[in-house]
Amino acid sequence: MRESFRRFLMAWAPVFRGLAGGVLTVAGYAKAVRPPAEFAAVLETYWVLPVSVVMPLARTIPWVELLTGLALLTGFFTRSAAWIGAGLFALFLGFLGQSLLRGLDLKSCGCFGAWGPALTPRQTLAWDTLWWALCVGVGMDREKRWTLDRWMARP
Amino acid sequence: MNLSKKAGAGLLLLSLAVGAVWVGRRTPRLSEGTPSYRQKGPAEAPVVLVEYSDFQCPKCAQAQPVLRDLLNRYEGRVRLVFRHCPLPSHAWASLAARAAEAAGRQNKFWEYADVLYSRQAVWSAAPDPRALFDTYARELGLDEARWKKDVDDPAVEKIVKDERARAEQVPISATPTFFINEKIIVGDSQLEAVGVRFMEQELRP
Repeated sequence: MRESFRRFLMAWAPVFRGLAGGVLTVAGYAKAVRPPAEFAAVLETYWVLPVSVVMPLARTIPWVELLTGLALLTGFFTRSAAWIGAGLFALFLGFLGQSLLRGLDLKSCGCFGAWGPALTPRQTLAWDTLWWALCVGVGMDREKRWTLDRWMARP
Repeated sequence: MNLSKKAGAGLLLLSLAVGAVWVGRRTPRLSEGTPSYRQKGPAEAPVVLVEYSDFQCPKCAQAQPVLRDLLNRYEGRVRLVFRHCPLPSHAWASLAARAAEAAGRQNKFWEYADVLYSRQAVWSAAPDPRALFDTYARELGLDEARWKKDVDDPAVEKIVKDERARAEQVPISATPTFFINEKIIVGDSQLEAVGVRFMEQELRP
């Protein structure tokens, strides 16, 4: 990794971590407090998977988002959480990308459950790409400033 | 890294997430105050199916054959309760709800609702569907003058508005949403895939 990039990450990774962690926490919480059937209905609109697969996913994804978000916010298993976060955003981008390519009429991304904002597919595409990039940035940072990981590594 | 510190922090985060979600969950009151003309099936039926629907929503219309099949299959063991949830994004949904409600006052709610769903594509695309709604009322043999008066009755408007507000409190995030003995099901495909299985489960002796 180039030195300038390393320094950039070292300076900005805590901010990226806070932003991506915050978004994942809010998005996960907003869906986890609601019945899984609601998020399952949103996933169905993407028309990728059958209901039998969608229901377990709708139960799991909000909790993975929430726990990953909290881990990022606090800096607990920071790099693992960042790569999981990047994986989640890549998954959402995959769902969204194929829906757009097939011309499906998606009214809302369903990212925040019943809570706003209800983003259009194109806004969501830009939004998820940004968060994916932030997670990748955090995943690449080895300094882990202001994290629980660093605090716990102290003798 | 100190293992006990790590385990402690992990446990703390997990408890925080579970606790916050537990506090955030609410138990909805689903069908209180629904008039009898919007309920069908025996009062003591072991399964109560509450439908939150919007007459202008295409998914709600798509769900009707599935719902009909379900009611036929479990006839006598299920009670259907209809709740209005006209979405603000649908220009004529509230008016349609009022029209059905006015038909309900003449005990023809279900018949009027069926017509609204089956001809949704027609009236939904009309610049003003009032004349079409009048025709449907005539076709069903309603007392037209009384029906028209009821459509514009502020009490009817209040019923629809209040139910919409109650739906927001539940909260209903999409239509159609069904509750089978309080188990939530969203959309026609879930009703078909999950509803039947859950209904069987609830009716098992």
